Formats: sequence, C-alpha cells, structure tokens
Amino acid sequence: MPEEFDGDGLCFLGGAPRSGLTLLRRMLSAHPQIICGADTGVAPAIALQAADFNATLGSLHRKDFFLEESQVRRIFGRVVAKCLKSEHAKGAIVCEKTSLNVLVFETLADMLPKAKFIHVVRDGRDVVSSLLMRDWRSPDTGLKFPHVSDPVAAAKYWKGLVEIGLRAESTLGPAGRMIRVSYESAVQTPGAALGGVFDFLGASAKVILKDEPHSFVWSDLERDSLPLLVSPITRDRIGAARARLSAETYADVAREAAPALKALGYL
Amino acid sequence: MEPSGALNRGRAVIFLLFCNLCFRFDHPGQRLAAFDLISRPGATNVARVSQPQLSVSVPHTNSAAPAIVPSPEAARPPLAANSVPPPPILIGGAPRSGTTLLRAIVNAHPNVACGPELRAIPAMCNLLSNVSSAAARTLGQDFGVPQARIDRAFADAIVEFVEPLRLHEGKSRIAEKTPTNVLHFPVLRRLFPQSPFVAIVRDPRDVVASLLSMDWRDPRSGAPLAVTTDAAAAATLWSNCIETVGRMSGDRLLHTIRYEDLVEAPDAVIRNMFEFLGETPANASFFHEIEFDAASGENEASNERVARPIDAVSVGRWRRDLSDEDLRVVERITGEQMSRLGYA
Repeated sequence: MPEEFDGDGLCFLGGAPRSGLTLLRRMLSAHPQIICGADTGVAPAIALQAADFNATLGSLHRKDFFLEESQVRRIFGRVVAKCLKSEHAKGAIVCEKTSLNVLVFETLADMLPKAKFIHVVRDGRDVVSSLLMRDWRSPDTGLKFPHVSDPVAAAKYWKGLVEIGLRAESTLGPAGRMIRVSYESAVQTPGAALGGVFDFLGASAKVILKDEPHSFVWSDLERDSLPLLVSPITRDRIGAARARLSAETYADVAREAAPALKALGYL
Repeated sequence: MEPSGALNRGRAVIFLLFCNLCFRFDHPGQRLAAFDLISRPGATNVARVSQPQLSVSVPHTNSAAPAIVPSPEAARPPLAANSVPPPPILIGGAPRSGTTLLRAIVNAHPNVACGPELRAIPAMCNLLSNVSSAAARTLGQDFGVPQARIDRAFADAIVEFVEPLRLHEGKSRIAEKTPTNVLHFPVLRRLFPQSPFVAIVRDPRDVVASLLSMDWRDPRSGAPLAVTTDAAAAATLWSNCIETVGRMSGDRLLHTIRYEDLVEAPDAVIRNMFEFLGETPANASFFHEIEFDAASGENEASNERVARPIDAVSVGRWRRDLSDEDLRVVERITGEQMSRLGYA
C-alpha cells in the first residue's frame, strides 16, 4: 500500500529552548524503533509557509485552482513528512525535536492528521538561568538577543512559548495526539518517563535500551548541551536557578513567569 | 509571543526560514555576465512554413474564422484522474513581458491547461533552497533523507497544486505561469528534468515603463512595491530574470520567445512554441480571443488587455512613457544585456 504521508509514525517534540529536548533526543534514540534526529527547523518553516499561503492566496487558490485551504495544508504536510521519513523508515517512529515546533503544533496537526506531538517543559526559572548563559546573537547586529541577556525578557519568552504549547495541549491532548513531558521527570524517573513516551508513540517498551551518548553526532545547534549529553544523566540542573540567579533576579523571573509556572504545576 | 522573541544563535537560520514568506517578487543579489539569449526567427533554422491556410494578419473581430484549426487528432484524451500526471510546463519572464498573453495562448490549446498565476512556485523554490541550506545535512545524516528526496517532496507538492486545475479542465497537460518562475528555472530544472520551460523576454525599457505604471502593493504593509516606483529596482528585476535564463542557455527544454516577435508575427511564434511543446502546431492566436476568461485570475493586471486581439501597440511604449532620467537608469543597468538581445 502506498504511503499516505499523513504523519503516521511521525512525532514532533517542541517547547522552550533549554527545556530538555536534546536530552530527550538522546533518550529516545536509545530505542531501536525510534529515529530522533537533531533540530532541522523544517516543520515550523513549512507550516508557516502553509499558513501564509492560505492567508494571502487562499481565495485565489480556491477560485482559480480549486484548492481548498485544507488541501493546501495537506500538500505541505506531505512535504514535511517526505522530508523527515526516508524510504527506509518503514516501521520506524520518526521524531523531530526543533524546539520551536511548539509554535506550529496545531498547524502541523492539521497538515498531518496522524502525527503526534510532545510538549517538553521545564521549570521556567531554570530555563531562564540556562538561557542567560547562552551567547546567542543576532546575525544582523551581533548583539545578544534579549531573551539570553535580560532575565525578564527571558521569562516572557519562556512564558509565551509555554502558553502556546498549553493551548495546543488543550486541543490535541484530549484527542490522544499530544502529551507533556517534563525535564524533571525525564532526569528523576527516566524509566517511567520514557515508558510513558514509548506507550504514547506505540513503540515497544520491552527492548534493551542502549544509552550510548558518545555514538551520536550532535549538530551545531546542540553544541550548548554537549557537556551534559556526553555525561551520565544528572539531576543537578533541577533548581539550578536558585544558585545561578541573584535573589532579586530570581524573584523578578518568578513574578513574570508565575502564570505559566502555576499552569505547569511548578508553583 | 513575537517571532522576534524566538531568535537565538544558530536558530537564526530557522527564523530566516520563518521569514521566507516572499511570494510576489524575488530580488536575487547575484549578477552574472550577460549572454546571447535567443535567436530571432529569421536567423534560426526554424523555417516559416508557407501553408495555404496560414495567414499572418490578425483579424480584429471575434467573428473572424480562424485561419488554421488544429486537426481533430490534435486533441488528446484527458488523462484519468489517477494517472501519473505529465511534467508541468512552466512559463515565466520579467513581469510585464507578455506572460499573461502567453498563458492565454497556451491555455487555448485543447491539450494544455494554463490557469492564472498560482504565485506559489517561487515561494516553494525559496523554501526549498532555505530548507536545503539549513537542514539538508541533518536530514541526510540523522534521518536518512537525501537531497533528492527533499527535491522530490517539493516537486510533488508543486504538481499537487496544479493538478486539480488540469483535471477540472479535462486536459492532458498543465502549464503554470507566474512571471517570477523564471528566477527559479535552474532549481525547477532540478525538480522537473523533463519539463518544458518557456521564457518570454521584452525590451527592458518597455518592461520598466509598464512596471512604473502599475499600482502593485505589498499585501502586508500596503506600501507600493519598489519595482513600480523605482526604475532601478524595475530594471534590476528585468536584468536578474534575463541573467537567470542565460544561465540555462544550453538547456534543450527551454524555449525563449521575444514579446515583440509574438505580437508582430504571432502565427510563426505560436507555431514554433507548440512544436517545441510537442503539440500539433496550431494558430491559436485566434483561440485566445474566444476562450480567454478576462475575469479569471486575481490581480492579473493584463487580463482585459489580453482578452482583446493581439496587437503590437505596446512595442516601443517607452518612447512615450519613460522619462529621460528613468531611461538613463534602465540603460545603465541593462545596457549590455539589451545590446546582446538586439534591443539597442
């Protein structure tokens, strides 16, 4: 039977950067049935193009080319699926973990009716303290981005992405297409966390997992996480914000991030 | 959350992918050397076949009978809906070069459907280029997806965009005309190795004069497009289109038409084109009067013009419409290419 490229066997991980997506990649890739590559950016780029087409060309396409918006979304969905699933990936579960997939979870869900989604979350205070350690700069100005140089901006950034992810959870979760995985559960109880993910993905849990971080080829985008990835999984980063941020900054961040912290159960 | 809040090191490339929303005009930066683009009908080995039923004069009324009609066997039966569609014919040229007239002529043939501008292919090509440059290595290395499969994904999508129109028209082939397809012909050749491409070129002075008379605006900001207000921008766009086609001068599946030849000697030009396309030659210049729907195609500026009989009124409009200053700008930017094309 020809492949439908409807997202069957595809899973998109997304969430605020520094929330543990690369760690999850390492853990998921230990499963022989799962392919979880580095960030590609493919899904958000194509999803946003699809949305733009419908917004700006939708009436033209409908009237002159007999293309409904849903058809256009499905056309782009097939592009995403073909870009991520090789001809040899039959039977495999392909996961893609660009953090900003979270921006387009709901669009992707329309584009790929059988795809699944994992919202990866982490305590926003720890995310902020990690972001502030990044040297991420604008290619145009050379200056550090606000969300890696200003604690309140970083908190707003985290909160905004979490809110988008929670909105997607409210529509996709009840349909069985989305779950939430926290960084804290992945490092504190990895077996249980992974078991839940494997169950959700339909991957067999009765496998021998080989955690061989040194065998991965990490992409440039993952370089910031490299020291953690080549070491045994640690719980030391949980609550790291308290030690890294001054009391005043910690309080400012907590205040800005409070609504999302509460929604995720961190407060 | 504003998209700007999502920028970070290394992920800036991803943000640039987000920003790949340009679909109306492309402004590639490279400049290549000019080239000999096409040969004029009299200088080529394409013979003007003298046939008793061929007339070189264009009637001015819809009631005139066509001088040539396609033979009954010219019309092929339409493909079944689940057949593999043939590779699309792609038409392009600098805006205001006669692409709408060309698409009307192509659409008039019983075997070829060519609707109004889809405006999707240039954006798809930009997206493909950005995805390839940002992610091809990871897709190949981590996901086992080679560039060829990425290309195939985009090619399939383009076919999916145009196939419903072909099926609706009940024709065996589909053509797509968006002027700036021409800027992406090299990439499109990679996606569609067997597709015929048709490029149309026109005197850049007439192109710029026409562009400067357009009221085209950015759909997001409402601001007039630079190519409609700035002769240099307009001339640069023309130049980039010509350069791109020039890079494909050895491509045997690229056919280039001069607008001036099309309107001054339509029968021969049209016949040559359909011969190139592998269709029974026909004098379709009469057909477009009958079949062209001037109401089709949002924002196709030339619709009403094209629905009238072909004429050469617009050839040399620059003498009337282009200011001396703008003329100097056009000649400065396009002079070498103009000379090579025989326009100066």
